[in-house]
Amino acid sequence: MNEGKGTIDALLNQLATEAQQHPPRSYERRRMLHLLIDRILKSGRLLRPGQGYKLPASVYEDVYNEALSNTLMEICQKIDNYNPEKDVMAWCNFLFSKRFTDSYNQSIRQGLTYIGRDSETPTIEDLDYFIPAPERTSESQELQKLIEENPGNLFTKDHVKGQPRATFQFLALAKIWQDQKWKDISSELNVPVSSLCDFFNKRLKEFTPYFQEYLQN
Amino acid sequence: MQINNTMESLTFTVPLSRAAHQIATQFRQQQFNSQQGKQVYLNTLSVYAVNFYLKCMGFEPDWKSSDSFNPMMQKFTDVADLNVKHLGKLECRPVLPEQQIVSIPLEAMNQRRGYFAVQLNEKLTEATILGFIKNASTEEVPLTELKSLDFFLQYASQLENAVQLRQWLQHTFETGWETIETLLSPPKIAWRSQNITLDSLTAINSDLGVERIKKFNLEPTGEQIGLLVRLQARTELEMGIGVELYPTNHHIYLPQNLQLMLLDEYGETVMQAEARSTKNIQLKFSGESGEVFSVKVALGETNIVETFVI
Repeated sequence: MNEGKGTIDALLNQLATEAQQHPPRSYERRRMLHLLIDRILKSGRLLRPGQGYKLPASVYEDVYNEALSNTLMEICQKIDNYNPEKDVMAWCNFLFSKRFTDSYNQSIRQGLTYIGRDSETPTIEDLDYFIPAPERTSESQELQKLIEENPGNLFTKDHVKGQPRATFQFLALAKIWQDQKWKDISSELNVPVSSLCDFFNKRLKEFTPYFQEYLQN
Repeated sequence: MQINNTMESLTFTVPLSRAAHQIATQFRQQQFNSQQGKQVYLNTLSVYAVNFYLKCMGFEPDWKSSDSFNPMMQKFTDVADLNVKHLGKLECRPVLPEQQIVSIPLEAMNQRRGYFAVQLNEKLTEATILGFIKNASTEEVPLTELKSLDFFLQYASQLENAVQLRQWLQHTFETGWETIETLLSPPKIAWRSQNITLDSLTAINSDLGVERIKKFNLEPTGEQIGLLVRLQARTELEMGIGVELYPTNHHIYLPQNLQLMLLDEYGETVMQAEARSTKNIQLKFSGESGEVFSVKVALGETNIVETFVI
């Protein structure tokens, strides 16, 4: 057991020291940092801080994850602060306890620690049961109406080069409200998908502030 | 070394904290229907994970300026992009637990520097970045075709440190890239070097394009050469490029057998020239915006490589 422990420490210390020896933004430093983080997570040597706080399990996991993320980020960004005479895991767990306290305090401020079950984050399955708010449905209808009405020919003023039918109006209605695939629109209009998307995205960015304003009024 | 063997399959796991879910929820609530809402949720978690990874690795992602952070863009396109300084747009596609492919919608293929596949677990508590590909030719890429993140780190670091030629047209130059005049006559010893070196080199009319030269040492012989790059914008996208080597330090001729090579983004040699009692050698070619190439100068065992982005 002791030997295994020593080997992990030696490897982690070696990775951290090597990372320090290469300049920031170099491939070599990044490679060592990537390995270091990977090995820290697999080391089985991370503490479980904050056991004394008696948090509900789901809240604990959440505070733990956030603190761990922040710790790993800090190790990467402050790798030059690592003291090679000490073990990486000692440094890491020291930072981890501090970040855990930060995350805990923050979740208290946000009132998350008492909500319990409702505060659980969704699973993939839960996402299928999402029901959009009624105002979203009406927003969708309003936008559709706006694009169909085409005030001042705003949405038909230009088109994809060589295909007059491929206006923003046509593309938006087909893609969003008729739920057609780009591939099908492309073969119907005989225009490559990349040209359609390029044109569509550019116009969309142009119209975004207008749409937002329209929906607010 | 033990470390080398493990890089090939190395992935990166990011814990999905409440902060990640809060952003995803906020974006999902903007969507018109549940299918779109789900996609936006998964896309957001993927981008969150890659954003975290890139920050850890010392890159400079800018999520807020990306389409994937814009609720209106999310409504109209299935997008999971992330803008990264010096790299451009990287797409971060979510992969569901049992999936063997990563799906990349056609609308997310435009102007991307590459694609990450990000596997989410059923409980959405962690995201694992499985790998990266530079080019997607189909909408469904088998996970087995992904390159490792080690490949990404190498590619992205090279790109990030590359000379940004498009900025030259706005007169922004990386350190070391001087005007010919500056290189020819360093202020204090101007009286000594005038008319002695680089006499074959005359500045071209600046209206026609931009040119800059950088000095390189070819260790261990200590030979010095000047690498000159000339640019000329031909169209909005296309740029004419000339790369030339000149002797410096009072030499008239380039070292014998000095080689100048043009490498494509995969490191393959596509053009080559060699010096034999010559005053300069050059290569001319053209490229499109976003393309990457490297120039390699080799003398015997020694070589230097400089990478450029058009």
